[in-house]
Amino acid sequence: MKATKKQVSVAMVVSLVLMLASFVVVRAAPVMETKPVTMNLLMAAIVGIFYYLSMSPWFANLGFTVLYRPLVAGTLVGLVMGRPAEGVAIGANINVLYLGWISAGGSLPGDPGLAGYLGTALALGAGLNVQAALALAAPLGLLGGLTWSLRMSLCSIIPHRADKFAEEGNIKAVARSNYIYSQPFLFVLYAVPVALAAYLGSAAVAEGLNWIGKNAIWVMNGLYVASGMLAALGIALNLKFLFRGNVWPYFFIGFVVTSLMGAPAAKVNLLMLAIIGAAVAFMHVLFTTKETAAQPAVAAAGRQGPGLLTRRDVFQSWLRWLFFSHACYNWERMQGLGFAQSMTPIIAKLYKTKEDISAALQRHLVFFNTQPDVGGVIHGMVIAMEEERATGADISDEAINGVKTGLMGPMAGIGDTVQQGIVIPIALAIGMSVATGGAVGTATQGNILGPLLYLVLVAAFVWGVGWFLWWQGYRQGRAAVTNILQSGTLNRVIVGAGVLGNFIMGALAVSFVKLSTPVAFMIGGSKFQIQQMLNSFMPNLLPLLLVLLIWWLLAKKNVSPTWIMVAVILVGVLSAIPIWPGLDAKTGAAILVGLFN
Amino acid sequence: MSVIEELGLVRIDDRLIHGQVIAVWCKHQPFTRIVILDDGVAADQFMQDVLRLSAPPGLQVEVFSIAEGIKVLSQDTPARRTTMVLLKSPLAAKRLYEGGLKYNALNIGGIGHAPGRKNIFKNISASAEEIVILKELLKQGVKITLLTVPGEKSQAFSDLAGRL
Repeated sequence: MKATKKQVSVAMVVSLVLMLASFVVVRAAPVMETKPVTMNLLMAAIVGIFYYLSMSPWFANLGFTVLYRPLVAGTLVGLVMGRPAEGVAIGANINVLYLGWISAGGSLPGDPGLAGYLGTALALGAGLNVQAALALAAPLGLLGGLTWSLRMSLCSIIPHRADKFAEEGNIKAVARSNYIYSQPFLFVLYAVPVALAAYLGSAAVAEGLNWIGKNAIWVMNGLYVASGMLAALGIALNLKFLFRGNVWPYFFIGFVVTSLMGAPAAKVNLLMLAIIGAAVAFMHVLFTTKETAAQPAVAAAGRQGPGLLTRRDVFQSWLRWLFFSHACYNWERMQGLGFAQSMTPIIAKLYKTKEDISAALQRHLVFFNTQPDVGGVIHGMVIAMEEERATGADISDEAINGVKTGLMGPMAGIGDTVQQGIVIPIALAIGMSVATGGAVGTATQGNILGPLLYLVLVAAFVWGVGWFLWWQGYRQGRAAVTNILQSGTLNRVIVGAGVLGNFIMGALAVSFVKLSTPVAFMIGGSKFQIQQMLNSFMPNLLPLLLVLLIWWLLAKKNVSPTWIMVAVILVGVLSAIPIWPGLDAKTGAAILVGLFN
Repeated sequence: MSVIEELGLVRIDDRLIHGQVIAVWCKHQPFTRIVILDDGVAADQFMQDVLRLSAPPGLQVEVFSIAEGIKVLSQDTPARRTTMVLLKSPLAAKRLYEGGLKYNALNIGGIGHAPGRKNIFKNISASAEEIVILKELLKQGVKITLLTVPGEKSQAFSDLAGRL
């Protein structure tokens, strides 16, 4: 495939933005005493509305992929509450927990959006620092599972109404069922509880904090320790997918390179590291993959369509899918209604009699579920089949349904691997790092360029890949699928991304995870500081061991991430109880300290 | 029944290979081989190519008709513990069991809604006949679990059967 002028200019714009971002990275400002923002009803309402929007279809598939991520959520809440810089920093830190978060096939464990919106709102409202905000948001994220199940069940009712509209051949009403009828309910379900919790919760959290400040100040240190350790869970969840095959050594390379650069004391620019990682990934792929006897691309010239549909019709159809694929996501049909809506412009153009329209609507209202970007190739194929059928070709309902049901699974497998497993975590890692000037978890003031950069990276993938595959599916039919799968490009991308992913996770183990020990004692007049001894042996040893331990528990012992999260918070807080021998930094006198700091 | 090792997983999932299977199950358990038993797919070269090519490297995908599959899977191979068997419907599960491939546990990961099927748990629907089939399997001692992916809420079919 030759890059067109347009593709080259898009690539240039993207790289310009990237370069600009790397230059404008603002170093973390000196620590400031956070003063709480008084939460008023309006602010709380907007936070609730934002949470709804992050689960809504109104942003061209950038709701769930962008607005739903704590990095972005924190930024938006910060803007609303008049503390954008703090919001960015808090959001970035909450996001460490969800770096390896994946929602596949409608399963949604934990809720990054809830943790991001409500967590940041409560933190700013109660004057929590960045670390305490994460410790608060982590359990909040678990509550999201409740609303998810309710949503998926209640939205199952709507397709039955749509079935009636389809019988009547009412195209517009079928579309409305998907993107309008579902929304008031979702608005109430998502916005109201979060707005109330944000409004009422701040005072309660502030009071609790006050009590802790007076009675058990070590708990604050404990939350700080827990926050630094929770990043290890986010990284380990990613490693569960990445740390395998023959690419796992790159994790250690990333770790060592970043350590040698002096992180975390010296703030390391992750964007620069990502460039090293990408170059290494390129070489790995170049040296390890055998050039598969490239099967000649089948029918590369494209199908000669009957010409009933224009490129504009196909694009209109794509737009509807881009926006509304998950508008009425539900247990019974999953994206079935979304699929039907995406076909409405095509059906309106191709079929004129009520019977034909009704049959076509019913044909596409059935169960469907795939990954929305990569799965679009299926829609492209189906549009081509509908076009042929409308000209009188003998294409049965079964043939069309066969393409849909046969391909939706495999395309979802690839799409989830690439989008949720590669693009989003890497874009997030870079965005979070830019947002905090390389100091996630300690920076108290963030840089809004971080979330913006994340937005650009994800939009480029979601829109670019989405439309490209959709159009290829329409033009080339089955050949589009076999070409994607057989060309070997996909595998090279996945292997390369595995290298880059491991490398980045190694870097993050240094720059995101914070764990050290203040334990020290005097023996016969000479100081023994455990951390110094560890450092002279190997810098960042404790963070590395923690990441590997959690990875081992997740991947080899099948311990649930929820339990690990609870355990990490408990260990963090308990380890802060000052019962261990230490030395006062200034006077050198023996004092009692926590196990970690 | 000959004493051969238990299969890694026998799963009903009408989407066969997809995100949950590749991105979650295969990271959770060290599967090396996915065996798809479906008469329709066994007769469709294009779909076989797609399924084979969409699995990540290191994961072998084989497709058989149900009759062939029973023969293949009845052989004791070292890979049994790391084999995932994918079926499209309860009917296929029944044919497999009655054909002589006795499994002790059956996972239902996803059955899409279709006319005549009603939703029984999350993304799992079943028709009246399919529920009868599952109850029969249950009676024969198969442990049936409704579970999309590890770590999610699961539901034992035995607890559900009384209400269906």
